[in-house]
Amino acid sequence: MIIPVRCFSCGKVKLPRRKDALYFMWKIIGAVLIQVKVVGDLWERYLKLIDEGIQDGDAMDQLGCKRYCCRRMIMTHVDLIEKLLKYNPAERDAKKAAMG
Amino acid sequence: MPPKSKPAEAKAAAPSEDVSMTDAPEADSPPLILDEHNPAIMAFGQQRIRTVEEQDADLLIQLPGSHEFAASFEFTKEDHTLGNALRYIIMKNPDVEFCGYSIPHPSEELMNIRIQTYKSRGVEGTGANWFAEGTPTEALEKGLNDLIDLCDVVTEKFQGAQEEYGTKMKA
Amino acid sequence: MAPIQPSREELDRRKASHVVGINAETVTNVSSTDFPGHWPGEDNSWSLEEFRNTLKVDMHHSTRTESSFSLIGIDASVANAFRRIMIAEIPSVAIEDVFIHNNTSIIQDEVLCQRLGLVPFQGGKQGIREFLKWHKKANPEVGQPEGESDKFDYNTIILSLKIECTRNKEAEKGESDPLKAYHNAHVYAKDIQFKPFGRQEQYFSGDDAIRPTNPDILIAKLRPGQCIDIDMHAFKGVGSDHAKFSPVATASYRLLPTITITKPILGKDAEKFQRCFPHGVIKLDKVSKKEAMKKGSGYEGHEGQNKAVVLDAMKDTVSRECLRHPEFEGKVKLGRIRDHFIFSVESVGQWESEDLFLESVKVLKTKCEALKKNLSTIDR
Repeated sequence: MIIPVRCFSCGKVKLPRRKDALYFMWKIIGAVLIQVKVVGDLWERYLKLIDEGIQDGDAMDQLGCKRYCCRRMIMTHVDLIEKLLKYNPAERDAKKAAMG
Repeated sequence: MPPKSKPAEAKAAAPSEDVSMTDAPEADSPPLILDEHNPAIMAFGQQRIRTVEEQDADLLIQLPGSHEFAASFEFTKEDHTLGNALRYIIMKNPDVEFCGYSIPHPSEELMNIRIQTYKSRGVEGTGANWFAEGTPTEALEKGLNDLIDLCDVVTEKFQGAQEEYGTKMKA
Repeated sequence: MAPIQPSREELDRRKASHVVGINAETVTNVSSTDFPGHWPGEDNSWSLEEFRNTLKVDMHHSTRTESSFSLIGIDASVANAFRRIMIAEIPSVAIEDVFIHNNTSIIQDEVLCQRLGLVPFQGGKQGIREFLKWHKKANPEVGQPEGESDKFDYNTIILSLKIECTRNKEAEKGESDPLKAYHNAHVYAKDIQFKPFGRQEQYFSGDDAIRPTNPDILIAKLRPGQCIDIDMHAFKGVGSDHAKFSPVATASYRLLPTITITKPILGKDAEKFQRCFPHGVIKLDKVSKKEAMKKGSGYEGHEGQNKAVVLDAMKDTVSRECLRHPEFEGKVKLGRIRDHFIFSVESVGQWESEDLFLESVKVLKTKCEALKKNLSTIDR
């Protein structure tokens, strides 16, 4: 429903913040130095990269999502919460309460 | 759901109960000793090895298959982590004829070690000194001692490697 | 009985026996044989001196969260003990109790609690490792006596998360991006507040404050009118109790691969051979004039051609691809060194990755000491 906090298999959370300098370094040295820690903070950055027109595999590489266990967390995730959020009784309830 | 009265309690109780703990531990002396709920420290106070089985109130029977040169030891709250390492180091003892470990059932936190030692004494001056005598309990104790020594050497070497790496990175 | 002097070939064979053979379908030479009585005439009993002389540690790279190093000259059983301890027996702090005052988000209470538990935290090193003690849970059958608490500044970290989503009045009309249209549409780990009490101020202030290692972890999504109001208690625990307490993302080792080219691999074959391995494992050299002159070397008449040379076997993944092709049959031998462990330790942030290994050694030592004390009081 919502992106899991950690990779189910290895427990990685997500990457140290992607700074351009780091990214540049990553390009040169390879994925050795920067790796994913948790998946929970990668999803939004991943979506942003996809919006920029980057291929999904490359986007995961850039995020430091190196292992296939972490990659499947992102690749196979369906963000159903966005659909459920459309049904929000909270605001309506508050209005009703205000009207008495 | 848990009660909603929450951390306020903890706050209130903290100062009075704390007094004995105020002396902050020194940076490098392991303060673990003060930590009575740490499982590693609790282990010091519990009897976790046995070779003798208690049956009924006061009838003691040996764990099966035990005599002067052979015994089984039952460890509670241990698993392959210690079992295999201890098995290896005990097998390195020339007095030991056989050593093996097993975990009889995965949902019981029990680990058994079986030790058998050689019965006959070696002939002096022939180099055949691995036929020496020793009891399984001695072998187990030596195993634990050797493992402790091993840990010290590993720490020492690892710190050496860290320093080397540090100076290499600086250069 | 005088010790038997093993022959030269015998000694070579034993030396080779610390290489695990890797064939197309099978592995050979799998178990260690360094025990007294295994090889006639060899001692092999435990010697601290010898261990000190043979053990070698190489640091390959090391950062705060990730390090890789080699332990050479140690048995698999001990290396495995260190690995298992790093995963399951080194304590770290994670959220254990969650008190939900209000949760009108569409993430259910229990799901939200589970997500919060998995969020990794970091904070002052001294505070977490030395000041913080273990918390003992009340016996569930008896329960906590009325008016008493077992939660003190030295065993409980109090955190809270209070957040409500509201409409952003300044947003453009028809704005469809929830992050612009509303305030607090996304709840992140950085929204968790640390509430120090007692002597915690002393250990966890400024840069040492307890905070999420990854501030951008998405915890929940909200819409206007929805709110989350919870208090959390974090304790020390170990990975064997719950994976959230495990201080490592991965702690693993592999054995150093070896690649031995027994007969020359030349020309087009050499290029193909190179492609059977990851980048940087095999390089191509030109056959020199000298080699081509030498009779019986297999290089005769191939001067100037490419030949395959092993550059860095450590990078190999031992995919065994090269063993699938008939042209390399009998020309290459794969193996792994049985006592060369390449560790790779990734910390989730609370511990420095190198400290994790040192701590695992310490834990093993403490275990042995506790049991040794036990042994002296055993019923014999």
